[in-house]
Amino acid sequence: MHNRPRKIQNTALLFLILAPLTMLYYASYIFNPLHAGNILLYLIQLVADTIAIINITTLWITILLDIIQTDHHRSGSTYDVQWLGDTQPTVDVLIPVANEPLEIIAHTLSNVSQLDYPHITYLLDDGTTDEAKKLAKKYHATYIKRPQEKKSFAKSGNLNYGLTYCHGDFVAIFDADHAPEKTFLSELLPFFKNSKVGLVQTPQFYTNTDKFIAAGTSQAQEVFYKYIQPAKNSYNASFCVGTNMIYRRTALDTIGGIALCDHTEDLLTSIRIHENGYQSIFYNKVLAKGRAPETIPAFFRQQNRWSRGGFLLFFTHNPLFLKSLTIDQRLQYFFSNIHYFTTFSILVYLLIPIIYLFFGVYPMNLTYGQTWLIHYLPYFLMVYFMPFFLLGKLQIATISTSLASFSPYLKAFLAVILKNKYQWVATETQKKQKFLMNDIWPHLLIIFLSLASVYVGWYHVQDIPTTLYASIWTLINSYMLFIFIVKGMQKENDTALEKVSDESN
Amino acid sequence: MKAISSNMIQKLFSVIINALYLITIIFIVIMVTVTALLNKTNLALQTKTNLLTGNVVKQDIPILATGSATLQDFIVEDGQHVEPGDKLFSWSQTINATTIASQTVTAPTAGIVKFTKLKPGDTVQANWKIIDIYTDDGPRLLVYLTQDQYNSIRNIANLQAYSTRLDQSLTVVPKMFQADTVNNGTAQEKIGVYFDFRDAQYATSLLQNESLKLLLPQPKTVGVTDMLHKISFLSQ
Repeated sequence: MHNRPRKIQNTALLFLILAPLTMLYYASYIFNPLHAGNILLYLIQLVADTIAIINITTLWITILLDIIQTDHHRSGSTYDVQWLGDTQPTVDVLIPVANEPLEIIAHTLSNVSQLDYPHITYLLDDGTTDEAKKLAKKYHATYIKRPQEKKSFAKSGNLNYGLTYCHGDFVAIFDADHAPEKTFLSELLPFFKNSKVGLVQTPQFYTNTDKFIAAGTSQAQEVFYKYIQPAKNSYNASFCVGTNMIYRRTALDTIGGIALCDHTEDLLTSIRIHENGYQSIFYNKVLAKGRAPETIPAFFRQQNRWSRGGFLLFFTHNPLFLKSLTIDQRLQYFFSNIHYFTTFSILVYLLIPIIYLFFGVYPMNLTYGQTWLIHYLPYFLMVYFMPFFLLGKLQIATISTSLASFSPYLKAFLAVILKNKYQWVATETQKKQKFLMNDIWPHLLIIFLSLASVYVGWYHVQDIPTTLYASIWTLINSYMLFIFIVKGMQKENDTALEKVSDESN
Repeated sequence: MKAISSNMIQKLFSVIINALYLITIIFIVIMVTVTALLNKTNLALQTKTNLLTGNVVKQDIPILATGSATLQDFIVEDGQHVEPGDKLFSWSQTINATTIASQTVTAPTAGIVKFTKLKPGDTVQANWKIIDIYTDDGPRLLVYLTQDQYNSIRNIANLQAYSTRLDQSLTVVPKMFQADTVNNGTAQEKIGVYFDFRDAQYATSLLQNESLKLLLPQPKTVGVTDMLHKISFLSQ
């Protein structure tokens, strides 16, 4: 049973060697208080670097342990096709929708109707209209719409409401924009011969990578599904990502259904499944294809939802302190949690050169600027080119979307800290975003500040080399944010529906 | 029609809100830029107007010929530091028609030797300067100040002077009562003020006439409110 690449690529090995070297080299400089410049900025820079270094280190540890502990790879050990033929368990397929374009829902329903294993399909409509009802009828799906008075919690509430109507042995879930392959059920169900398996997850795969933001999102996801989920699988800590997976119904019933929360119900459900002694399996084969967000509002909605869940888990259900989990599981969940704190690092890295150019203050003592540059450059290149090291390719879209995501992460952090109420909105909702500037004002502000800071920096310039480094740095950042805005503002509906119809044909 | 007009109103509202966002962003950027530019301008202004150049003045002791004589040999070299009693040069003096006395002249004080154009074999007459010795004691800094600059240091105990050659800052103390009013070749009358070096040990390393940069106290800077006052005044 082939479910993960056995051979790690050379560039990834290079990452394993270079990452600790460059980080230690940079850390030896930055953590030496003798090199401090402006003390306040220095402390802020220390926090930013600490977060970034911890995140890279957790990634490094995850990949390294996965390589050196290959005996943990046990996902294929209970795979039994014969068992499936003998027992013929019943399967319910749930498709939660909430105002997504009808064409996208139709595409998913069409693919689900062609699954080669017997199943019952449920279209769980949480939208504001009944337009999807006709589609359900067309594709022989049971249409379920929550009454208004029962509309508490978003996707998790919708799924749990749907679960009260279905009683199959297994529950497969697909988001409205993720369409499965024919063999999805027949390939995954044999894993459930082992009665301890509570969840089998497959990767999210995006077909619309010709779009800039979708391409960036896709590459970031590729790192996750190529390295992180397989590694988590080694520690029985791979988790559900909300779509393209099958739950054992008894496992869900044991934990009281899908965890009720307004975001990252998938992660919390996975934790509860693990807490109750069930196993999860990540099957590294694309068996469902979906659409990544193409527009800025859609991308930010997705990132905000994910990061909000991450922060909420960190502050309220921190996996490190969940005693029912193994140490491995606690660490792996924790590693996933802290990823979203990189928003602070990104923000600081965006602002530091601007502050220097405007006001001539810098976190480090730049009397000998070359010393700083010599220590920083290898680390900077390692971070910037990380997608190249891990995937063997680098797209501007990946860097651009990563930089731009500081804003939804930060908003999510503030919302969690301030305990703001969250209104769940599907990534691909049809609801129009009224004010685009509401999403992009932080990016525009940074771009304009960058351009102005370069002008100010070169006005009565004192330290030409440092001003040059800062100018190049901030202009690169601005370009990345600029291209994100320009590409993200391009109309999405010109080709999106064509793509769906192409895939259907 | 109703739907169309409602849609148009929504679009218009959206445009207005987005425009307000943009205007706010531009306003913030302009404010930050103006503040930063003012800071930089003031800094540049201070650097430009507050850095003055002065010259080191050392006490000069000339070694003069006491009568007609012929220089035989210089025992020291130009720029060499000497201690009291160190031999400087030898000469031969004609006492009378038949007597020629050879003598060695020694340094009367510690300092740095500065040669004149004379060389061995030259004949000198009485009161001709053969060698200068810039003494180690009491070098001073002479700086020409405008009246405003002079006023700005009146109550200042000490200032910093910087030697580019030594890459070193030295603390100097103004001697206000020794000030001289000079024209200094410019239209603006300037005041020559002497500064003593507080640390005499470091000051001995300075050379006669060496240029030092003197940093004066910062004058009142230009502020945003000043600028706004000017704008409101101009608009009246």
